[in-house]
Amino acid sequence: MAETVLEVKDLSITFFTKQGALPTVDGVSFTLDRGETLGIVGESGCGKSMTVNGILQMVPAPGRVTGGSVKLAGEELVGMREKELCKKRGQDVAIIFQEPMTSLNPLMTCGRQISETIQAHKKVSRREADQRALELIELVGIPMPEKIFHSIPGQLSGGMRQRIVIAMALCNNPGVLICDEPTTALDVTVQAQILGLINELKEKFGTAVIFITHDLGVIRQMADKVLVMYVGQAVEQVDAKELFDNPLHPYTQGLMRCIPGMDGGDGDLHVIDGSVPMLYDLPKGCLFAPRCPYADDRCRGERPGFYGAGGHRVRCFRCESMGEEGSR
Amino acid sequence: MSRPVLKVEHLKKYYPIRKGAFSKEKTVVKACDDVSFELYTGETLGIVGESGCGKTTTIQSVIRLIEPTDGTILLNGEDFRAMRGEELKQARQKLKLIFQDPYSSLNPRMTVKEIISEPLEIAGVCPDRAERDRRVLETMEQVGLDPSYVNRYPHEFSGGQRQRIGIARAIVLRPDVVICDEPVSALDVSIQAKIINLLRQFQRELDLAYIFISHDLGVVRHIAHRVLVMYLGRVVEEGESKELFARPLHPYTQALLASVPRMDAEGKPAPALQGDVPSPADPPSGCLFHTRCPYAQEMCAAHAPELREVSAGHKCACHFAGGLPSKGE
Ligand SMILES: Nc1ncnc2c1ncn2[C@@H]1O[C@H](COP(=O)(O)OP(=O)(O)OP(=O)(O)O)[C@@H](O)[C@H]1O
Ligand SMILES: Nc1ncnc2c1ncn2[C@@H]1O[C@H](COP(=O)(O)OP(=O)(O)OP(=O)(O)O)[C@@H](O)[C@H]1O
Ligand code: SF4
Ligand SMILES: [Mg+2]
Ligand SMILES: [Mg+2]
Repeated sequence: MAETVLEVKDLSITFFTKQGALPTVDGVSFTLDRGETLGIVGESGCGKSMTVNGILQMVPAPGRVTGGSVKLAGEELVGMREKELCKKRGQDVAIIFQEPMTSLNPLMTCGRQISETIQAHKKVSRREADQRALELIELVGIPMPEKIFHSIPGQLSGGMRQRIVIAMALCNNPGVLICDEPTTALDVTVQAQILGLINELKEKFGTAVIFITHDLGVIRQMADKVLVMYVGQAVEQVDAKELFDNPLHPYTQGLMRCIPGMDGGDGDLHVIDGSVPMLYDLPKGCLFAPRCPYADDRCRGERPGFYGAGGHRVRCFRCESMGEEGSR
Repeated sequence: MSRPVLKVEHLKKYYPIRKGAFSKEKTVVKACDDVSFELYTGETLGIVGESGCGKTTTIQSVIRLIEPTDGTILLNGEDFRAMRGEELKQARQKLKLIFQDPYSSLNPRMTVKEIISEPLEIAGVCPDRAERDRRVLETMEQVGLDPSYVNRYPHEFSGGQRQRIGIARAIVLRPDVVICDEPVSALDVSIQAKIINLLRQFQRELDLAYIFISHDLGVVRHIAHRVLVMYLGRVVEEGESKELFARPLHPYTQALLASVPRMDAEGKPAPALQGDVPSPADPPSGCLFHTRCPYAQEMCAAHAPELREVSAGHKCACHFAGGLPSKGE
């Protein structure tokens, strides 16, 4: 039986703004097992980052978690005291962002930053922490670790900085590693290295990974299962292989088709009509109905629930005949 | 074939820099080094390569936004680098640029009408105001912007709409060549698809020639007829798009293609290349790629390979070009 390390149920995040209460994340659920990678994919602003902020209980004002539960190794994080949460963050769950400099101090040597993070969570001497930091720098595949240990981030390339951030995230061997677009700012050859590194580390330590990206190609390479988001909601959830073989939600299908393929095709690209609705002006029915080629009166008037079978969950009436699909 | 609308020969842009942060010794960054190409009406030339390889420097030198160090630029057969004053101003109308960032490239204090009509005013082509307004509205319709938005400001538009404003501004003067520096990189895929379709539609309707820079190989493959691959300021491969993507000759091009995570390929391929791009201030000897190349031999560190034609229209700068296993699809 696989060991579940993270269980998110009906997570909702609301932003209280002048335009009203905005449902930024609306009832997202998933579970994550040890050594498993969940990919979260969707276009800009659909709530990917906010979902992981919600998991870490770090939603910025004027937003807050307004419903649901987040269990990390069985322990409820929603409502937990800030002091305890601080301990969890960085120790049991760590996060890597798109821009490595948001996680690095530009004035401190890379080695010292890592060893300080170690000392923040464990009672070890400076020497032991430094030694461990050096090992970590080596682990993330940096050539000449001693030299890099004494360098400040500004002296490193973007790819090297991201490796340092990964080393820092791993220093307490967290059960869950969240990667929020960690390679979006990197070149493809460096991206390939970083993706390979994350997979390697995951296999070595059994870390569970949440990988956020807007690149379906990256999802294919990284994820065991996928959550497709649209305007704050999960619209399709399934194993990665099944998603690419058999995408069921019209939004997922549209997303896949509008990407220019590496196998050519000279015609016009497929487009998804219209644009993403504003959170303060959401359609009454299915959130995708105004752009959906299959939308009918029911879609425009009523919100679909989750349907599907065999662990394939789809928020679309067209899948209703497959049956109701509970949360997993 | 007819005469190219743009012909660039041995273009160079060298930046003088200090050797180290505290060093007095001077050296140069060869940001664009001996780049040559031809561009024909109705054709798209793609330029690909990783960050810092000199794509932007190359095209900015071509339009003389920065002054090239050396080289020849012929615009419709005329020496563009020799032009001055009024002649240069007129010639510049034939070369237009679309920027990557739809957020910062538009003046926030100007209305859409002012933004689109500004090039007309500067060029003085439409002295009649009513005529100018008509051109603006017509162009807005062409790029799919509702003409009723004519008096709005850029911040009232989404990223995709702003990029349309940028395109309208670029084409309003009916240029011969439009240069697009990562025009869709900041956009979501669904909006990206619309903008790419739009650019291609204009190319057909107005017979435009494009230079299209992108780090997204899928996008370049879709839009470009011919492609230049750059590494550390130099062209390492050039060829027809279909041929180049199917039979990449240079080990660097092969590695680039292999690194793209693909939706249609399952599994976890090993990283295609080790190491980082070397510093342009201190480039490797011989072949610039030899420090990362899986096929490098002793001679590669000693001698720089020439860009030579391996098959018709397909050039490659590798000592072993044509003799290496091809890693295309
Ligand atoms: N302070 C705020 N007030 C109101 N809405 C906010 C605030 N911060 C974020 N949002 C909204 O929350 C929504 C979700 O944002 P989020 O950052 O999670 O998107 P994302 O999917 O990560 O997008 P991207 O791909 O651009 O990173 C967006 O619509 C955004 O506008
Ligand atoms: N004004 C300058 N002075 C010194 N070096 C410069 C200057 N402008 C650019 N460079 C250098 O020239 C090289 C080429 O830069 P360029 O911006 O053309 O690359 P690029 O291919 O467009 O990269 P990107 O994909 O990141 O836009 C880089 O090494 C850059 O650091
Ligand atoms: S010349 Fe040598 S180092 Fe350069 S790409 Fe060819 S094989 Fe590799
Ligand atoms: Mg985000
Ligand atoms: Mg550039």
